[in-house]
This record gives sequence, C-alpha cells and structure tokens, in this order.
Amino acid sequence: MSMHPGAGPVSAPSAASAPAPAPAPPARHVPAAIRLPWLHLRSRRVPSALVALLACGLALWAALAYHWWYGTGQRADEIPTLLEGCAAAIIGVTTHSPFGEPERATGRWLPFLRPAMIVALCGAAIGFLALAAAISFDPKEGIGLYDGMLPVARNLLGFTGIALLFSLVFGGLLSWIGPLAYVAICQFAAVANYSEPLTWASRPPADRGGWIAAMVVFAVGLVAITIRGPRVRPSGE
Amino acid sequence: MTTITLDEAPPVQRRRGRGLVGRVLRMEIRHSAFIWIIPLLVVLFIYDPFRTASSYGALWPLRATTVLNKFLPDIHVFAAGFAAWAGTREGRRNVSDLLATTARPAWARQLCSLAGTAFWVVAAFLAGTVALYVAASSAATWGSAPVWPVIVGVVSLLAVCAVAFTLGALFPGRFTAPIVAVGITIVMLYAFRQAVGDNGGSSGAIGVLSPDGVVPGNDWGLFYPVSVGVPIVQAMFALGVVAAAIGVLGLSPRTGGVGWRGALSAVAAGGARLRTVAVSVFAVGVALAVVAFGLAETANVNDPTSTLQIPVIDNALASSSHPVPYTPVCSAGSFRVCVHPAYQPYLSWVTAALDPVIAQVSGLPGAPTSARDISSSLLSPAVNQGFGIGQIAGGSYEFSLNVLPFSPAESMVEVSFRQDLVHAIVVGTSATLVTGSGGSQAYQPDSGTPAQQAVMDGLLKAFGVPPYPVPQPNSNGPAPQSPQVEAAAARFAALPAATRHAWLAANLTALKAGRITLAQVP
Repeated sequence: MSMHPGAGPVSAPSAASAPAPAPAPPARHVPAAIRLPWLHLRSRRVPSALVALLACGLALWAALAYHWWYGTGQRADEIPTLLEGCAAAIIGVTTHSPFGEPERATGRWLPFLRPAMIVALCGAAIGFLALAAAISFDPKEGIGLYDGMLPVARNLLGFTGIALLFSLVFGGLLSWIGPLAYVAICQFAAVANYSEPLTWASRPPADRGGWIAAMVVFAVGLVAITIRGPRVRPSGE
Repeated sequence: MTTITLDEAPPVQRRRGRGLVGRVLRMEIRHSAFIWIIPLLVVLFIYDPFRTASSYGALWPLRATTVLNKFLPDIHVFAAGFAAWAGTREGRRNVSDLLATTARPAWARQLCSLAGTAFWVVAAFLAGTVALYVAASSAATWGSAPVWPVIVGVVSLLAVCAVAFTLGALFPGRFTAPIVAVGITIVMLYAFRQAVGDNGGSSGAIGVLSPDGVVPGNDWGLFYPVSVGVPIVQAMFALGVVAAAIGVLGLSPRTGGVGWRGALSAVAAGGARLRTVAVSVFAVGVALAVVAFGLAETANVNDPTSTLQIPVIDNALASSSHPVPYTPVCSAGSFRVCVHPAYQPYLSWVTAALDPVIAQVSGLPGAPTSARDISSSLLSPAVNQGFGIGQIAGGSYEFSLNVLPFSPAESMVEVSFRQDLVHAIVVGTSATLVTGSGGSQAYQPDSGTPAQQAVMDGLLKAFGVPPYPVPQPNSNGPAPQSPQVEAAAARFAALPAATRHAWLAANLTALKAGRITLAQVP
C-alpha cells in the first residue's frame, strides 16, 4: 500500500510579516437614484444602442443627400421606413437582460426602468432621424423626407411596439425579427396600394386610423414589457 | 511493464472526419433559428411574388422574373439577419476561449454554422421557386422553366449569408443582426436603383450586377434568347463575394483564424494548410468579383434583341444573336391571324378584335389580308416608340403583343387593336419624324387630317369602340376632339355598313393622301 503524498506543508505568514494593506481609495458616493438607472442602462447596452441609432440617422442623411432610392411617392419611403424599422429593432434588442430571473426576483424598480428606457430611446431615435432629415433638407434640390417627420414618429413608435411584443414571445435578442418583417409587410402593402390602419407605414401622414393603430400597438407593447419583461429562454437568450 | 509500440496504433480513420462534419452540420440545421421565420416568409411569398407572377401573362420568361425581382428581395433581409445572428453566436455567448481548445479549426466549425443557416435559406428559396414554376407551367403554352434565375438567386443568397455571417463573427453583439440585415438590404436597394435608373434603364456595373431589376416586356425571351452573359456575370460576382467572405472568416484572428500577418508568415500558428487554403479562397473570391465587375462594365443593349448583354460572353456563346425557332399558332378563317405559340391564350382575343374591322374594310386598297405577331424589335421605330401596336407591311398587319400590360384584359385588347388597325388603314403610319428647332429629331404621333379623324372615329363608333385618342402636343393625355369632327364621325357611323364600305372603296386612296376634306365625309 502506497502512501498518498498529500499536500505539501504550508506555512501561514505571520501577521507581523504581512504587508500592510493598501489604503482603500475614497469611495465615490453616487446616489442610488442615479446609480441604479445607469447600471440598468449599461446592462441593456444602451450606450451602444445610442451609437447604432445615430448610425441610422447618418444612413438617413446619406440616403437623402445622395438620393439612394428610386421613384417618388410611396416608393420614396422605402429607405426611411427601413431605417425606422432598424431603429425599432435596436430598441427592441435593448430589452434583453443578461441577468434573467435573479434580476426579476430582486429588481423592484424594473417596472419603472423598463418603460423609461424604451421611451427615452424612442425619443433619441426620433431625434436622430429628425436631425438627419433637417441637415440634409434642401427644398431647391428636392431633398427631404417625402411626407415630413410625422410618419417617421408614427412608424417608429408602431414598429417599436411590434418589437416589444416580439421580445415577449421570442426574447429580446430575437425581437428584431418583428419590426423588420413588419416593414416588409407595410412596403408590399404600399406597393400594392393596399391600405389598412394596421399597415400604418403605408398610410398618409395625418391618417387617423394609422396613428391609432400604431399608438395602440406601441402602448400594448410598452405595458406588456413593463409588466412581464422580455422572455428569457433556457439558453439565457 | 508493457510497452506499446507505434506499430500497434490503430489506423487513422479517414471517414471519421467527414462523419463529424456531417453530424455538426445536421445539428446546425436542426437548431437554425431561420425556421422561425419560414411561416412569415410563406405569407410574404403568397402576398408578393406568387400573386404578382399569377397576374402576369402566361409567359415563362416574364413569370420567371418574379424569382429575382420579387422573391429574392423578400427573403434576403431575413437571410442576412439570421446569418449574422448565427455568426455572432460564439461571441455573444462568450465561448470563444472555450472553443479555442477544440481539435478542429474554428473555420470548420463556423462554416458548418453558416451552412446550417444557408441550408434553410436556399431550401426556402427553392421551395418558393418550385411553387412559382409549377403555377407557370400550368398556364404557359410555350417554352420551359428558365434555370438562370434560380442559379443567380441561390448564389446571391449564399453571398448574402456569407457576408452577413462573417460580419456577425467579426463584430459579435446583440445589435449586429438587425444592423447587418438592414445594411445589406440598403445595399441591395441601392443596386436595384442603379439597375432600373431614374428613367427605367440600367446604368453602370452595379446596376448590371443587381439581380433585382427592370421587369422586361412580354417579348423578352420569346423571339430571341435571353442573354446568358448577364446571369453568368451576376453569379460570378456573387460567388466571388462568397469566397472572399469565407476567406476573411478563415483569416481573421477575431474568428479564430491566423490573422492577416500570420497568413503571410511561414512560421505563424494556425497550420500551413489552413493558411494556404484561406488565403487562396480569399484571393480567388476577390479575383472573381473584380473580373465580374469588369465584365459588367462592358454590358450594352446595342443589339437587335434589345436585351442587356455582356459582349465577351454572349458573342463567344453566340447564344442571343440567332432568333428562337418556333411554329406560329394561327386562327382558322379567311383572315388568318398568327401569333407566337407563347401568346396562344390571346389568339382568340386578337382574332375577335380584328375580325369586325376586317369585315368592314376587306377589299379596300391597303387593307391587310392577314395578321401576324412579330418581335417588337422588328417593328418600325415609330411604332416602337409607343405610338402604336403594329403596321401594315406587304399586305399583312404586323403587330406586337409586347405592348400588352402585365395583366391584360380582353376588352383592352379589343379596343387597342381596333383603334390601331383602323388608324393604320385610314391614316397609315402611327408617327412621323419631326425635326425640332435645335436640329434634334423625334417622332410625333400622326393623328391624321380632320377628315381622316372623322372617318376613323366613325368606323370605331360603328364597332362600339371609343374614338382614336389624339395626343396633345405636350403629351398631357388625349386632346378633346373638335365638334365638327365629332359630328362628321357620328354621321359616318350612322351610315349602313354597305354604304360605308362603298364610300371607302371609292375614296380611301384620296382620303389617305389627304385630299378629302371634312365636308366631303358623308
């Protein structure tokens, strides 16, 4: 029978020989009212989302300034509508939380932080797109959004509602499918002259039915995500 | 103590590698997220390409354009999104370090993941194409299913998947998939805009390389074969993009590759064979894309077929310069109407439209004794520039069905053909060449003298057809007819058919020459 050598002898350092602990840096006192929202925004990658939304604005500016699209009328709305869908998809993806169930169990402020973040991002997206349209606006050259900013706001809010509803079903990371698919449906509706309030992106800017449909979808999505949060799948996604 | 000699080592099983790849591939196919979007794609497919193709005439080449013009744009946004989603997987789940220790190179693993998504994308595309072609085969009376749109579509989708996957692998993140999907869609839309141009014509290499383009006329591919040069160049470019994207995937250190410097270094880690293959694939891809772009620059439409061609390829294959042989389909009866067999469904419409006119004008000087459908490129420039449907040449009324709208109706065919044939008999040419003040020449519609207009409108009124539309000089729609002409047309229409025929027999030559005044019209 062989002896197991076991662990080697360990000598604990004496208290006298131990180096003196380094003085702790003075802790910055950040109020919880700021720290919690900031951590929430960082966990949802909101800074990256803002950069991505800014990129959407830049793309809109380039599309307007360099006349990237074809045709007039509904066809001219193709790229702006696509960028609105992209912005809504980005907002939908931010709903994903890397913490999953533990956060839900302990996060009392989540029902306030979730809608606030989404509304703020929608405001930022509309702002970036409006800024891009304003910078590129040139009436002499005929450069500008065909129907102005009203449809941009309506479409973006409606598409965001779709993204939020998709995040309930598929999870935040895959919620981008919803707005992109809906953009496609609205574009085909516009090309085929098929116009119902539910295809709000194919409706005129001041159309009441389109506005009501978009706002209802946004409100339902916002309320649902506030109460339930995005779906967390077993894989963590 | 026992020793193990190397001679006793089991032989290397070559097939094990292939089996492993097959298993990984099966796993990737089973777990691909693209399956979730297939129900939506089915809805979009029925709503857009299938509905559009069903509304087109029963012509193989025309219906096949929906594969690239409608179905491909529907599917590529989701192909890009899900391919990018698959590409971001390792980075998104922070397992790159864990997977770095696997025996197989990262490239092989990623290619399996890419293939898993591409499998569903291509399967969905092929399923939709089969549905379109089955519907077309039940309606078309001539020709066969074009293969090139399918090849170009498959290769384009592979290119979209490869680029999106590589971008996803290079920049893993939660926002990558939607941004890549929209970015690639914007690129495709931009290429489409280049293809159709502001005036409906293709311009530049980017436009030629765009699979999504202008919807051609009805005659496209019926009388002359469709150019194979353009789809070859498009497929070549897309294949180049696929190879370049896969090469980047194998080389980039962010995706587990050896890195660009490593690719050029003989002592770098990563395996010499892998390095060589990745660099070669990338170089071949870039070369293919550059050659295809250069060939696309040479595209032109200066040929009798009026289709976009790549001279180097099309001349070498000599595919599009010879007319397509066919046996025309003709109507029975004394006045023979012959059409291309692809237009057989419309033969009865054309015959029904022309017969009453022929019954009224038969035997008159210049009246045709037969009618036949010819390629629109063989009609006179005046007709081709949109001022008519046909012309009377050699005692035959030669017309083109290229002008039919994509969803033709019998009533429209009846009105258009009767107006055009009566105009050709009474007035003659549909347009005349006019020299402008700056020396430029352009065709202007020839609506005839007031007497000719009165006789023409009177005959049409007798057939129950609206008056011949006299265009306004500013091309702002048809001009209102003068009351005198209207009154004379009504008088002429009210005459018995035999009286009208007798008057025309006596006066048609003078009327055509412009020697009959409005007052002389009975």
